[in-house]
Amino acid sequence: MQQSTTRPSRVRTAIFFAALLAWIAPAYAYLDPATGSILLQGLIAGIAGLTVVLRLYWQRIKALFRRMIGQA
Amino acid sequence: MAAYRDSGSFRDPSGSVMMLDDRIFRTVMPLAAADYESTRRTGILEELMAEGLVVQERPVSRELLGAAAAQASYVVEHPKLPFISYPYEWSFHALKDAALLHLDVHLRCLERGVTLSDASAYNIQFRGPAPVFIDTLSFRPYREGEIWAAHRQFCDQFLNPLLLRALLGIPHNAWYRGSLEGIPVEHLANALPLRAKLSWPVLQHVVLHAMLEKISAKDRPTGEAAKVRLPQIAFRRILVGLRDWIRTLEPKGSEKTVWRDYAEINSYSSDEARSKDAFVREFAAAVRPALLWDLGCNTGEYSKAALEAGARLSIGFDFDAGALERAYLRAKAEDLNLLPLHLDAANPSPSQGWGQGERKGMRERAPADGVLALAFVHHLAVAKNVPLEYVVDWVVGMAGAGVIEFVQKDDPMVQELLRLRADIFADYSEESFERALRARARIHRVEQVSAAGRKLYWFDRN
Repeated sequence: MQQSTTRPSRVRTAIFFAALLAWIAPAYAYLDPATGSILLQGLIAGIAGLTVVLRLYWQRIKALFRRMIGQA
Repeated sequence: MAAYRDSGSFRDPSGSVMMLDDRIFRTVMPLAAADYESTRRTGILEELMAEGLVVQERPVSRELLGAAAAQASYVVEHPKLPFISYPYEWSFHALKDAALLHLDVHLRCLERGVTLSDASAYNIQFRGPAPVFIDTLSFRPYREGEIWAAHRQFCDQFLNPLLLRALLGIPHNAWYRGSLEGIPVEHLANALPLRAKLSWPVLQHVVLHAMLEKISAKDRPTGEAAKVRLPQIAFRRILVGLRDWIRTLEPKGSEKTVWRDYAEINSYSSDEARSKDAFVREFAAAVRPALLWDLGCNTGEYSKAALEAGARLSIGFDFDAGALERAYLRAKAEDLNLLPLHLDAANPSPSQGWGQGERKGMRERAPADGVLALAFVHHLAVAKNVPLEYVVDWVVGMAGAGVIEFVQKDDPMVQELLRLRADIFADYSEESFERALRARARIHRVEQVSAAGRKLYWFDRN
């Protein structure tokens, strides 16, 4: 049971980081998006990304504690 | 006559708005054909059109436009809107509703894998007090991870003008009219006091945004910036955050402006108001103007009378910010086909933008089918020193028929305007007014509506 729940979440995290680092967004707009706005969105995306990662890890930390308490 | 391109439609190479015989068409160029097809396949446009959030479109044959559409992949026809207005003419609440419509449409689209290529406030028009999205070529497929390229444009054209009024109590109209692409985030950031900067959304969309803009202008990290990726969840969160925030924005202060309470505390008795109301109704029932211009509309009282009696759409104009908000909110609450707009009649909207033809001036959008100018003439002739004859000429030039009120010099309202200044208006009299009006139109009917001598003139040039 334990194996089957941790593996997909690890895969998800790996995919998330790979995508975050390797993806290059082509410019689709006829509009100039303005660098300040892009950087701001990078930060917002960073915060959102961080939240996702923290949430994933939080689940695992909770599970770890639950296991430790169960063992004690 | 051959089809011609609208003078405001040239920025987006995806296509353009064409006019032919008073009908409105939009070409879709080969560059945008695939996006046009795939966004239409999702069905989201049809849904938004059925709900009235996006203007209707109907595919028509390219042949209809002849050589003008020779290069186009598709041509669609839109219903013609009776009046085009611009964000610098809208009231605060109209701009707010337009911003919310943009965000709602965008969020609905994202659910179906579609996004908007821009965030231009000029892509929104009003049907009465209801905003409608008009640029059906702004829709294109969403690509996973792309940033919101139009974020800056949304801030400049919707958010910053609203914040100017909500945080600083400055109406956006004059600044926006001089800065057609909106109010730059760097300038707004400079104007905000520290206290206003401490809220999270202001910090994010104004302060930080302006800081990053400044830094990037210095260091130019363009190569790196192109690699920024925004997960869809974060994209949606930005749009939802803006929508929830904008919903709470209201004009700063108590909204006590000069003429706002005019309808309640003006110098006529209710008998006078009733006579005016009846006169306007009689005019509207006889002329049945499809498009009525109500100059000095205040809170929309007489527009309402005209609409109930037979006018189809009324565009109200006033320079008082508080009166405009009340008129707009009244139109919404009472379901009136009325759009009140900001206008300083001594300095009306000019033709401006590229080639001075991109955004049309007030005169270029005339004539209307009917005009009301009630308690209006003295504001120009006395308060602004415009010769009476010029004022009459200007009003009569707006429509083939209308109602003008003349207020005598000894009227309390005119005396109020003269309280602190010398009476230099020897020519301001009923005789000169009538002479000026007769020189330009036929006087169909005259009625005295107040004991003090206020008179309504129904004129007709046809």
